[in-house]
Amino acid sequence: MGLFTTINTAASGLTAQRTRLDVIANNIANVNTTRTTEGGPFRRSRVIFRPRVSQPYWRSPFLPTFLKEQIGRGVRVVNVEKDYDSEVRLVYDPTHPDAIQSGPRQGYVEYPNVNVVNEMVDMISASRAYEANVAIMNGSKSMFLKALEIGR
Amino acid sequence: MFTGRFDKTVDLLKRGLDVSVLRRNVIANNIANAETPNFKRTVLNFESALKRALDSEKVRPPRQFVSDSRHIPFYQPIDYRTVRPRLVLDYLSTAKNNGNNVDIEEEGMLALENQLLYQTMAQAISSEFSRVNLVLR
Amino acid sequence: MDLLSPLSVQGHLIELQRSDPRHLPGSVAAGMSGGAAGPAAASSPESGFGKLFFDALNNVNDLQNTTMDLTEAMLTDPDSVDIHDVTVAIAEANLALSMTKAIMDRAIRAYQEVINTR
Repeated sequence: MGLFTTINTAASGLTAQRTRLDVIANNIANVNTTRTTEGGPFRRSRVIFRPRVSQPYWRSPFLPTFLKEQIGRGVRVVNVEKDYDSEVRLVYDPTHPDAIQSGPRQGYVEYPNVNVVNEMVDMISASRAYEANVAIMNGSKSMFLKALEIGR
Repeated sequence: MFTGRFDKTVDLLKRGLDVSVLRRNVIANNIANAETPNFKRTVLNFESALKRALDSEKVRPPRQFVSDSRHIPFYQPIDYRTVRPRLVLDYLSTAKNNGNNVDIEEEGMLALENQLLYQTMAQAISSEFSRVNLVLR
Repeated sequence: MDLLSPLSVQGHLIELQRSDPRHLPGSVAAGMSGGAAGPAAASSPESGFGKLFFDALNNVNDLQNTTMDLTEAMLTDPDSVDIHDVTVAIAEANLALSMTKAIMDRAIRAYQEVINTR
């Protein structure tokens, strides 16, 4: 185990929060994008996190598993997917070039399902988690240096 | 090796340092997974079990008389060397909306406490050794 | 013969009895006093300064070996060994060495004083 494992775990948290921050920044930048290459308005993206487990190598089920294998190794980003669950915003503007021409929603423009307030809240919690991970790494470094002084 | 309390103190401090590093890994895992949905934080328990083992060595009941040598005496001091840390899943704390019950501020406080404790134990071991070295000079 | 009679129990130490002299003894001293030359019986002096020196040097050797093992493990697989284990082992080995040297110096000097008494 050791302190290097701690630093790896914290680094995985840093990577995950950075990815989340990038996605949030992209969402906010595209808050008014009404047309994309796939057709339709921009859909907000979100990241899917999963805990990263240490790889258990094969051992007999009758032997007790060591404690070190059960401690998790951080988080990993499984997927960055588009959020098709929320509804798009509809704004009535018949003069807009992307207005719907026919059908029950004629004259409405579809705006992305990005809620800037939610994105800002997510951004704040992502940066807070980022700072907590950085604090873990700094603390581990201090501990390491202190342990080096033992024999001196 | 050395008689007296030096051996036991150094051994206790070594175990404390090991457990401290394990606990730091647990806290780092909790913090890294602070946004993962349905993640429950884990805790490492060691100090209370160690205290129980150390206290059991201090208590001396009055002399017991066993009528047969095969009887098991009821005063069994627990050897502190057999105490192992235990990983516990904390599923009782209130969870946020996404099923995650990690509180970042609390984990940060635990991490700071853990770091200071580790540094204190390292300092204690250091002074144990330097104290004996002082006598030898 | 019963190898483990209740009368041979002394506290937490049980002296192993052998049914055949070719069996390996439980401890080195038992092997010496048993008289049988088991292959594992090292020629250790039974008492006195010899035993003191032998034990102390064995101890120092063990600590040095532990330190070497830990240092090697730290070089080949940094994740497996804790840093405080390495530094504590180094400090312990140094301490054992200097303490043994100090004790042996005093002991040898005392011996020489006794020998040189005229």
